[in-house]
Amino acid sequence: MEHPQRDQFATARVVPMHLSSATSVVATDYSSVTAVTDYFVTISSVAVSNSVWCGQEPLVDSDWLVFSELAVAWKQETGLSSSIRRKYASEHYKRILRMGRKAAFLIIRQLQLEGNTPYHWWDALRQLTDHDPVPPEVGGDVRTAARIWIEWARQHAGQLETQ
Amino acid sequence: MPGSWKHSELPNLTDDNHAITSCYDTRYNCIAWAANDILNWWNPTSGSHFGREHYWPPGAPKKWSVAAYAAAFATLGYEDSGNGFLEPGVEKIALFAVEVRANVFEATHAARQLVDGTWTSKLGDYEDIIHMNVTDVCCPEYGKVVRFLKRPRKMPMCD
Repeated sequence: MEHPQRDQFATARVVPMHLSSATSVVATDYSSVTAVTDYFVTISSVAVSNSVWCGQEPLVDSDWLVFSELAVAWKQETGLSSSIRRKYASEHYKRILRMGRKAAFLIIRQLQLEGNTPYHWWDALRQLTDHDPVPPEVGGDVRTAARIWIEWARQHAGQLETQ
Repeated sequence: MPGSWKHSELPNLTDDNHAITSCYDTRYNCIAWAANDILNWWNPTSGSHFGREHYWPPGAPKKWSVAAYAAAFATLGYEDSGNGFLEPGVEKIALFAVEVRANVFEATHAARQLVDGTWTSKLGDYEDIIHMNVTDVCCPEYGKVVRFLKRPRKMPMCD
């Protein structure tokens, strides 16, 4: 059975968020979000509410819709796995990579939504941007890595959007 | 509250044989959890082009084999154990694996025995659970238990 919120999301008119205008999303605490289905609902509601907050003419962001579907499918398919190799072998993940460099912008937006539970986007970001702003001493501290990537993207927003 | 996994993924888990003990958390995985580390994702990819966010104990082979995983735990003082029976003063870990080719097993999961004989597992990105029997988390993704490890329990009365 189709999730009722999915239809709502599929027809939602979502404003493409400029990284500089997305700080209100960063401040939101998603640490209590646990189930993947709840997570999807949270993404959709935040995306829609952000369009209201921005006060801009809503536009359909088809790339974001495609990306979100792939991201949810990837998490559902490989969430139980502890092997990053198995996660990266997923066809959903590979399709995100095949979206090209515009996917980097979408991943940054996704990282903002994920808050304290950033997903395994690091290698995709490195591949898609040819950059790695996270210093080695950060190691496995993925919350810090997410903050650094978001800040890096804020500084390179124009570059990301035009690629 | 149900966990993040689908029942079909872990068909042996029932309402009566497990309890959820944490939130969804992508910072650490089952191997880290078995090693009492909640700040790192343990994979034998550390230092590789796609694994710099991951941790793997220095000196352990960077392979996905059961032997490499056992070597990783050996850096923490674990050695082979013939079984998963509860023994006073002994902490045990179960390594799970799937057969990827004939007689070639890839390590997939680790569970740690608690002081009362139950087991604790971190389920990928999902929650930690306590489960009654080590085989409760046998499933297509994790395969089966292929090796038990043991070491003296650091704090005999608690975990």
